[in-house]
Amino acid sequence: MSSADSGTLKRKHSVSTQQKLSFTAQQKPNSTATAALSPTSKRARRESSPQEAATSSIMSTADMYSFPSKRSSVPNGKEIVDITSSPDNSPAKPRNGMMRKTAPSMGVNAGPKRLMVKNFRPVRKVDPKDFLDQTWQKIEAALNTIFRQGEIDFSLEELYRGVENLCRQNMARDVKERLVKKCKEYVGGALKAKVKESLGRTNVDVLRATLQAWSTWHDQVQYLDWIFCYLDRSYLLPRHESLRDISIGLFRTIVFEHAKLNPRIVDGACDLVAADRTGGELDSDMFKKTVGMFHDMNVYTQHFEPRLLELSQEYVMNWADAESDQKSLPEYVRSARALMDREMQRADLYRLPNTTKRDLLTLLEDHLISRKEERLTNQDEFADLLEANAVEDLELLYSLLERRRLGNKLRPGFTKWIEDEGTAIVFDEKEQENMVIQLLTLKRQLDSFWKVSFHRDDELGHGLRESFELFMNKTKKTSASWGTDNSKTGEMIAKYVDMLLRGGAKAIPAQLSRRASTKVDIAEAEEDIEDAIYDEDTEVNSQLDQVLDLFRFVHGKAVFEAFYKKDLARRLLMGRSASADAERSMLSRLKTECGAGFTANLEQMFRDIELSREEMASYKMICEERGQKQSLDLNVNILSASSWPTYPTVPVIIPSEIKSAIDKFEAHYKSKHSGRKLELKHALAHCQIKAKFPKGNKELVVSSFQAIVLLLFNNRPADEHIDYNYLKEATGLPPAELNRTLQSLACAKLRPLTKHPKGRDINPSDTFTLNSSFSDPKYRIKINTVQLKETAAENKETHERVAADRNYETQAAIVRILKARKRISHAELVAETIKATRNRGTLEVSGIKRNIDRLIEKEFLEREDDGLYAYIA
Amino acid sequence: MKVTIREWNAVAAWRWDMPDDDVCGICRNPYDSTCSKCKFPGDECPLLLGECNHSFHMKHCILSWLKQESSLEKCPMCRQPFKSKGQDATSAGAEQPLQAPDSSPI
Repeated sequence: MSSADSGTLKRKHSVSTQQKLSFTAQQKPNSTATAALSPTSKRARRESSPQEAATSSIMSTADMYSFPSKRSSVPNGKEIVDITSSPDNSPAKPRNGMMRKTAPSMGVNAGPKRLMVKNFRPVRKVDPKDFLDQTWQKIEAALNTIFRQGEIDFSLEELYRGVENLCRQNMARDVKERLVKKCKEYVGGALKAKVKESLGRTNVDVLRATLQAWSTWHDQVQYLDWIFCYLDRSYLLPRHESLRDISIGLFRTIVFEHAKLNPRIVDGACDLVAADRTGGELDSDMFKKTVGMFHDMNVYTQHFEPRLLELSQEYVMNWADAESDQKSLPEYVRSARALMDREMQRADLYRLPNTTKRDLLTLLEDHLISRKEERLTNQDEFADLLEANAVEDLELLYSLLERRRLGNKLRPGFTKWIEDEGTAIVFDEKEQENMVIQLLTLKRQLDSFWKVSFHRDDELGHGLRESFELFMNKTKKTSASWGTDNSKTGEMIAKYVDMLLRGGAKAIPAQLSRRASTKVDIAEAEEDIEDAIYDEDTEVNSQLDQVLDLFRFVHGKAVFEAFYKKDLARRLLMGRSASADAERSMLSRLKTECGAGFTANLEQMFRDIELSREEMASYKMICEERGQKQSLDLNVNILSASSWPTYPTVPVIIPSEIKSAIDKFEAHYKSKHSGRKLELKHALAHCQIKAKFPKGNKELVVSSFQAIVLLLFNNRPADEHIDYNYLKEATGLPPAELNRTLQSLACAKLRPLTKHPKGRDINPSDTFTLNSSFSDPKYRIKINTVQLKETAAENKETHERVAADRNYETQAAIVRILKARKRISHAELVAETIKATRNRGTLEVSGIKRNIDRLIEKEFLEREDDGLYAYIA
Repeated sequence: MKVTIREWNAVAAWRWDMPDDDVCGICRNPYDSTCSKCKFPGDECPLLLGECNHSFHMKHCILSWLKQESSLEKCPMCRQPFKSKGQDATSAGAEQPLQAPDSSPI
């Protein structure tokens, strides 16, 4: 009690103005004031008392006690000698701590004024050693009780005071050493023994025992904490130690790091995880506690994490191997996904640190994805998924791969599948009529894959477009394109557009119409919510847009152009367009798509129709002014020949009545537009006729040829047979046309004529009668569809013309290249030609060769001796 | 049975009423199509028939030839002085006949 007491006593005496008193040694803000006054004095004093240097905390406490005295004494007058600043004056320089504490009185005595020290008590002489032993005895008894987990029958307050006093007496180190020794004994003895008992059992049991010991120890340390608080704060803290660390460290080194126990404990924890993985019950409370213990002991990253990862790796590896062998691709993907979710959930649930989570995830990804990449991108199975339209499974697969940025590895499989599917559609000769519909369906399906399943992956998007383009432009010399290598897709797209424009919204095939497919496309639904209200125009427009999407892939636009033009001509001349707006919008689409040059002719066609309408209106006005009564309503469409498809002039004998009307108009036209002549294309004309049938009057819309044939039956009795040859003579039609016309009248669905004998084909020996039983619910009937249909010959002709055009184009390109290069090698010329004509579709090398030969024949170029071609100017 | 025609929708294609169905001597394009500078055949790109029975696309072919000094206002085909062959055969449009005499020598 002596030195500590004397300290406090001295404080009471010498310090009258006690402002700041603190036990913590580090807190020395006040020293700035002192420093100015006596910078050397302190150091000198420290040097003078080396024993004290070891226990600096106490010394500095003493330091602090003396600050206020200085501060208060300075203003009082210079007579007062600063005791701390004047060690030189003091005669007793080499003094120990005890001595020093009496120094103030001596210093004061040395001054001129006499200071009286009141209530001065001399220091009691108690041996510190005895005091330590005495106190420790009490503490030890308490500790034993605690370690025994017995009833607490002592005052914690008293023990705390005891520790505090010991510390104040510079015996903190001894206290600490004794405490540590005591704890070591206990942990290494009783506590370890308990854990060791379980060694014979399973890892989990060992872990459980450890946990048990840990929690006991933890509780006991709580008491230690209370008792040794002062020690902890004043002695250990400045040394960057703490009671807690020491106690945990003891448990760690003695129990946890025990050679036999350690692997068992760690494995026990890992076994818990393993049990959870294999479907067993995870003792979640226990695992939570274990993780907490590892964290507290600071052994998580060192011992547990590596082991856990090691075992996880083993497990995941085996799992991945087994699963990928047994399960199909989608199942594997799904269970891999589930496994990852489970692992992450567990990590979250037990608050495993982020490093573990990250490592675990890396490990999972490594084994489930990277190592199984080949398996995941297996083209056959991937194709199966695509085939099955399994959007969700594909999405899972893609996002799984994308964790490792491997999504683009799907590209080869994806493109291959597209190519196979597409090629099958393009070359399916039986289903040619449905080619575009199938392509559209495929495109839509692919788009939804791309949007939904593949998260709009750029790489896959490119793959999609590239492979689509590839198969769309695949050509084959087939009977369908009459031996030319024209792309069939161009033709079919043109025909599909024709169908749309002729039929309007009604013509949209059911499987493509938006109404039917709203539920199919998740992605589209997302996008197009705003035009959920359909009307026919938007429906047709959206269809046209989709077709145009296909059209963009086609390289050889020439085929499309040829067929589109032909169909457009037919629609315009027969007035069969469903909507002029749709026609215009298609035209403007094509213009933006292919440029003005592409649509120039088409625009001229529209203009011709417009001009003809005006022409007819003015002609009719003139006729009315002249008072001429028109026996029939004549309309003439005047075409500028170069913009329209070429039509052969079919010889036919026109009924005189019509001929005179046309002649009159022709005369009028010629007088108005001098220098022109008109060439009538009767094959394209159509007319309305009124016919009296025995079963009622009908109005028929027929082609001109049909009308001419029907006129021949005028005023004939119903049973009169007219033979083929007579019809041939009277109409002057070539046999092919006559056959077609008769077939449409006598063998189609609606039959105003009857053929004898019955049959589908027209023979020169046939005779025809009026069909007296002809009837139809409608008054106005269209039977000129034969005119609208494209004949095989026409189709062939168009194909051949496109092919021929391409040859000219190729030749022009060759000549242009040679003009620029003068001399060029064969390989280079072929490459250049392909480059120059690429936008018209890729050419075959053999075709280019043939054209080069032709040009040599025509003497545009010549072969030189060194194998180069030279241009002949 | 009685059939009467109510309405007849005829289709006719017009072409230049030229003696020979040939190409323009200057631009080598068919008469029926345009010269290389015009877009649409017809009134936009009419023909001019000379007294020598040589005809050309008017606007960009023969007229621009006649404007050149070196042409000496002769027909490029036969080197006879080029004169248009009567108003009726020259051109179709209303403005062109006014232009033609301006540049053709009288």
